[in-house]
Amino acid sequence: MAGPVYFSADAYEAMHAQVRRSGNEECCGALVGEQAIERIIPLANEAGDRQASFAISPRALFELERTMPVAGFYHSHPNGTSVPSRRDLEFAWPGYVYVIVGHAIRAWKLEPDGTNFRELPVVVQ
Amino acid sequence: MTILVRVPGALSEYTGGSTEVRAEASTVREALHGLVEAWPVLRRHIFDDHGKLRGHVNVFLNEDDVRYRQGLDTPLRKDDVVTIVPSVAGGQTRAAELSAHEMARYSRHLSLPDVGLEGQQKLKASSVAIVGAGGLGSPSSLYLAAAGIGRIGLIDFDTIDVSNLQRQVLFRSDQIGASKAHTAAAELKRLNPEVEVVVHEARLTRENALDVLAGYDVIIDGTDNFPTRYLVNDACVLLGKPYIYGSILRFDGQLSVFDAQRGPCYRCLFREPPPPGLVPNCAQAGVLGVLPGIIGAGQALEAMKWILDLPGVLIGRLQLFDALTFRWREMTLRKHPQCPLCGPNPSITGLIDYDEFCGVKPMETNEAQVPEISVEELKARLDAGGKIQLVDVREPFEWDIANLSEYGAILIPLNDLRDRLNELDPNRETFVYCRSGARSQRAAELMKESGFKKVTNIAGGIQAWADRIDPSKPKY
Repeated sequence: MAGPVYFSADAYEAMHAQVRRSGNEECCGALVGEQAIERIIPLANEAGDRQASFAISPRALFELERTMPVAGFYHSHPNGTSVPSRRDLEFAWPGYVYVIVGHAIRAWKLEPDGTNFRELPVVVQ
Repeated sequence: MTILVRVPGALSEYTGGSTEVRAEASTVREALHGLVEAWPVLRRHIFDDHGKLRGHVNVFLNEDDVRYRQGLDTPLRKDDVVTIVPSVAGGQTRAAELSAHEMARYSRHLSLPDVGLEGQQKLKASSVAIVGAGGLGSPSSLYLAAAGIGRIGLIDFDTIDVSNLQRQVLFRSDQIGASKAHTAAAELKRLNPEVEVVVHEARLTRENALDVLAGYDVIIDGTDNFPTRYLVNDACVLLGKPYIYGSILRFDGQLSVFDAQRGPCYRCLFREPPPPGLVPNCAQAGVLGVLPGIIGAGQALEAMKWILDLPGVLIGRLQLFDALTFRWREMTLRKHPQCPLCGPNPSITGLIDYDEFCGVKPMETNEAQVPEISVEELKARLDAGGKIQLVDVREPFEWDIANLSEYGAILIPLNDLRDRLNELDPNRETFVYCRSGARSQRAAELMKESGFKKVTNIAGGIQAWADRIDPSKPKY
């Protein structure tokens, strides 16, 4: 996927609702779809320190990747920022879309050289 | 043979639209090399500059994470599928704001130039796992909780025993029999309610170690045995985390920080464990009660220095403490260029069976070689008389508590046995006992290997004798 990240309205709202419910803990999940994000799959946050970090279990991702087209991942920043942190960059992979839900919802993708993120516009259909 | 290597669909824009490649490989490592040769753009996401697998790459062989097999050395078979699964993780930059109450609580830190507000926020943002809530874990967890570490994980499966109270200062006499981890957690929360304490009431094993320890920044080893020591070291190297090492025995203590990113790991120093039985543990050899206080507090100190990035962390330096002379000696440690774990060409890329590695697990063949009899059978044999020799392989202090000298038992401690075999008659039928039957098993094996004609181990040792034959013998 290049260019804007297209969300179905349902997927966008479901993601937003999950973030509201999780309060001051980070929540996370997978973005699923080919041309657009058609749905989200909430995943357990396996991090030890859920107030400031998130981690998705490799097993969950392994199962997901072979059953549906995973376009990327979303996670929340309870402190409100929607910009990737240093740790977000450290763990980022090329190809995936990373959506961060803070006060705003913003989408990011790793630059091909892997040194930084490029922001992608988010479009809700 | 030809193996299928799969990558996530999202990477297909880098791989010409494909998500799998065929590679000639006989191990997982070779399969990954085949992958990055086909798609060089993936190399930097899979291997670091030294050619080691990056921490945020998970590799599955068919249905299994290879970390739980033999890591990159896991052999492949025909029709195997290797799948790359990214670690997806991250999170906001932690804003460890301090409340007014915390400012007051930590005011002595805030006025220290090298800690200050920024340092205190680092402590609050950090997490420490303590393996073993015992002699060493008591002082280290108490000081770290008091200092305001954000999250402390306590890993212990045991319950409080009366013999712990001589040195494990987290516990009180009215708590005997209670869970160590839960009791310790409650005590730490009482000391500092600001600290999050996570209880892992489980034995740390090769199955859970990576998952449990991955959630912490710093790992403190407060255990007393070689299998756990190697397990913690290996897991820390694989996870890229510092391992704060401490050990105590009798009047001696050791302290160091093994951080393979910046210095040697424990295996650089001791590639293999000593033979089982050579180094006694505290239960066998004793330990001065205050010694774990000194070494455990040292571990807490080093964990704090590491978190605060203060100079002088004991990386590459082993401290040896002698409580009797009150002297510290320092040994400089260097990274072993061929370390099988943290060297450039590691042969250990996943966790192994540490009980087997340390020889703790009795080998079945040996068990079969040395016959065992019960204390009742022994009593019958002794009463019947005859030309037999009865050998006690415990330590002299144990002999002084209780022994079978009335049946002609002679004392040769296990560690001296090899040198003193000439005091025994290899042709005479021999019975060996210790406290509960483990050391005597090893002694009997040694005698058997040395040509003793008939050696028998006494199951349950003198403890069983005191329980079932002669209750007047004191137990210990």
